[in-house]
Amino acid sequence: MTRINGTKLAIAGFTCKKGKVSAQEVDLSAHQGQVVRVYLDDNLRLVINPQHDCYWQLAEMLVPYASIDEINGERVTLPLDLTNIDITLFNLPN
Amino acid sequence: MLAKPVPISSASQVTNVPSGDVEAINVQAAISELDTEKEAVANKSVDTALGTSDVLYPSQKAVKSYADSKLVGLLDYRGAYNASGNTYPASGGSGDAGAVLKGDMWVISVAGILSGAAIHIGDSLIANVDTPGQTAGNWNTLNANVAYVPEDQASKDASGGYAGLTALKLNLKNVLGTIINFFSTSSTAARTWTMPDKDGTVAMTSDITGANGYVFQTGGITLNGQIGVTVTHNKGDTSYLVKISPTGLTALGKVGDIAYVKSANTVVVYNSGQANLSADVELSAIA
Repeated sequence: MTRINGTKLAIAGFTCKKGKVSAQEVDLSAHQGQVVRVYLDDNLRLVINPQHDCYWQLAEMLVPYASIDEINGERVTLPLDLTNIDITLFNLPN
Repeated sequence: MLAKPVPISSASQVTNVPSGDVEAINVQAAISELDTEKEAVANKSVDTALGTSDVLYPSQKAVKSYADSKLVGLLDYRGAYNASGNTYPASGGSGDAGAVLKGDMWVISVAGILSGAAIHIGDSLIANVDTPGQTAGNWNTLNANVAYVPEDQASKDASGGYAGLTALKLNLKNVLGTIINFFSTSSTAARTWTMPDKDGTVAMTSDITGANGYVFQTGGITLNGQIGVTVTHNKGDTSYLVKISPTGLTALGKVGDIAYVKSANTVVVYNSGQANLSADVELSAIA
């Protein structure tokens, strides 16, 4: 199961024909404003926007920039909010 | 002592009247007439080619030789021939003691193989030289069934014959010929069946799912520059090739380099040039 947990994308552990995938997560906050593709690599670890072939693509999304608000006359960067973004989730490998 | 001949003085003394058209009424006149009308020995011809003269007359041998020469090489039907011995006819010809001569012809009654080529019932053999022997070039073979070779119904489902059908299922026997398997499909659409040869090699493997070169997905994409565009295929592994062909002249000089990142369920295509360019994509398997 793939889900958003705050600024992170998390997957629960599962087993596929390539082996046992442990539960893990990756922080997306460093990829604001980018199209992000999350994969399982050949070691069944999560990687983002790899430049090499991977085992399985798990998700794809446009990570927005964090909002900036003005509070008491000061510009404040709000926490990155991924709760309402469109995410393309791919079926997990069997 | 011989009696002295008595001179004939009148026709009434002639007792041996010759037959034919002798018109003479006395011996002298008869001899004279016969001497005039007889064929001259000098006109006898022994030329076996004969000719067109109305004066010459041929000898018996000349006539026979001429007649014989006209019979040489003519088609001479010699009957049916059983070719199961896989040899050309060596006897039964029109020559002396059955020698095979040019023009001797047989019709095949039992099939066989002559000089490595099958000859079938109804085919004909004609010698094109005297004493042709077993040399294929000395024989003309007339195939009576050029369009097809009839197959005996007894050959159905038999070794060396042909496979039969059972309720539109192709009969396939085991090597012992003791069990019949059936080869059929429930599909109502056209299908391609590819079978391995005796070495297990399958021809045209590009037609077979999973085989090298098998195209398992095609479609169109819109190139999105270095952001990339994702193509989902769910092949299940990364043993495949990706072919990208930009479409339309507007792509000229704008696509840049193309690269892609593969995974077992998707491939992301990147180009170093502009976005929003159309392209065809083809994914083919690597076996």
